[in-house]
Amino acid sequence: MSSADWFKNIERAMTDWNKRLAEEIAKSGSPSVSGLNGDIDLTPSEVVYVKDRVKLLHYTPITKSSVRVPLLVVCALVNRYYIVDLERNLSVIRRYLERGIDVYIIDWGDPAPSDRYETIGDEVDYIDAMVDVIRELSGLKKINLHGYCMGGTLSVIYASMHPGKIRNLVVQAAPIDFSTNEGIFNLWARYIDADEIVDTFGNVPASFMNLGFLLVNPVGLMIDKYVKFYEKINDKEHVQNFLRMEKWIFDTPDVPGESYRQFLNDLFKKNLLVKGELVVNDVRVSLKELRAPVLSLVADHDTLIPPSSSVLLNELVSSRVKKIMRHPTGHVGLCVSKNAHKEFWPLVADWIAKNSTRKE
Amino acid sequence: MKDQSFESLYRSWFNLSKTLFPFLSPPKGFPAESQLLDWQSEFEKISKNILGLPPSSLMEIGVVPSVEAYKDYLDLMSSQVELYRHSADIWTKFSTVWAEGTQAAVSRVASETAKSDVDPGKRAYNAWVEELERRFDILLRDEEFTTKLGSFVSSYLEVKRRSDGIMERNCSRMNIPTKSEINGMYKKLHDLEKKVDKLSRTGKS
Repeated sequence: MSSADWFKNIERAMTDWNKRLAEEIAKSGSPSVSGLNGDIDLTPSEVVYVKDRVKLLHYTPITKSSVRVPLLVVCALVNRYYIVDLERNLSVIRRYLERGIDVYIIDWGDPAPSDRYETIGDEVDYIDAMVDVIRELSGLKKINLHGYCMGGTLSVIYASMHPGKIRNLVVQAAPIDFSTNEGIFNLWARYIDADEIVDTFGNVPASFMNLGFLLVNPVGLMIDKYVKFYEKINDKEHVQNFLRMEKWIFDTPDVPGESYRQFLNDLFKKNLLVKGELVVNDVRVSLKELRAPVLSLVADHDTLIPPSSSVLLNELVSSRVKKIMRHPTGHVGLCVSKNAHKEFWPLVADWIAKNSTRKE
Repeated sequence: MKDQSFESLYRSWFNLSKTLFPFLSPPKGFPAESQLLDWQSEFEKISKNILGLPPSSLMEIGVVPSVEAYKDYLDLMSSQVELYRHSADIWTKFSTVWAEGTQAAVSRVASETAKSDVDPGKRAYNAWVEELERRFDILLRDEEFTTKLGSFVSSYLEVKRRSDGIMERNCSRMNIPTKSEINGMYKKLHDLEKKVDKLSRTGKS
């Protein structure tokens, strides 16, 4: 094939995609375009506690509770919590509810400019306040904790500082060991001046963070993703989920300045958590203090948080019961891939249920 | 200390103006004569107060801020040039990878045997995406590029800082609370909230 033919083929393919898109839009009222707005199919919940801008949501049970110990889910500060509840068939929350687990989640909300001085210690205090509310509501001394991504790191720090309040810890795709060279953020963090960023911006703007996320894979995230979308534009379910994902990706809150500074300087650059030198609220965090059963969930193809950054946790904690579960997908795929919901999450829910009845 | 010669210079200029521009001395019986004269005398008093200041003070009020502001704007422009230079660095790298990836995809598709079951356009597109993704991944992990990326971010922040600095100075002159003053209040508020939270939690337990 000559290069002239190659360009012709590209042109033909692009014309074809555009033609199909135009046809679909022209149909207006046809199943694939009309009525789809990317609204998130949230599982019903109620706000049971509010502290400043941070809310604690309790999900309405959908089956008879069979697991006595409630579970608190903590997501990253850089994204919205609803990635674990995007759509009923792709909802981690629903998998837990179906198993009879009583589920709570933290909605971090939108930090105001005055929240720029909020540190990791303040985030840990928010988690502590929420944990206390759930302990009071359930009448139990210890509850289960599930942290995702940066929320996983915060959960690990929290569980190490308050081991007496955590029954089981589930850590999903969380950065723990920042010394690895596999993660692109780990490399970039060495050349990014967090102090400059925070001193200039205050809270780190969502648009700034988003640009970083898009740069991780510019071709895949800014070209190929949309081409693949056009290819499946007749598939109503695909289009709806695509729109939901797009909504989530660009619905990013700002990040409290001092938390960002500490995360980049103390964790990404100095790897203090693994070294046992991280200081939070004037307390040195020791992973050895973590004795609760730990389940590490790892996405094999995670390019944001490489598996090597997560799996080290199980070697550093004092827990007698610890397990690593892997799934062949990416960082977000672990939450939203059909396969993960069919094969992976029911097993995670089983582990939580089983370890919630285990004698301590 | 007042500079009398400066005041007398102004006085002679004002008197000359009255002669040259008769409307400054309205004819007797002008309907608004008294109001105009009142205004004129007030104006003279104010002018005298200002112009009676030594020239060094005048420099301080008018000229010095202009010089500082001008310097600020020059610095801002200079940081914008730096930002442009760093963004050009990034853009050049991206364009190179883009061109090389596209060229590699062309060669690859040209050398591959056509498969009847795959649309040639789709095959070409897939090859193009693969080549570009592979090359971008190498570029984004490259130390030289990452350093350039860091410099680009720093130069962007420098532009923002300089622009914020100009705003800070303007707010301060207009007696409007500045960003750094508000940040100071945020810090106090945060510390107070933390203390109250700690106290209430201690009280509960």
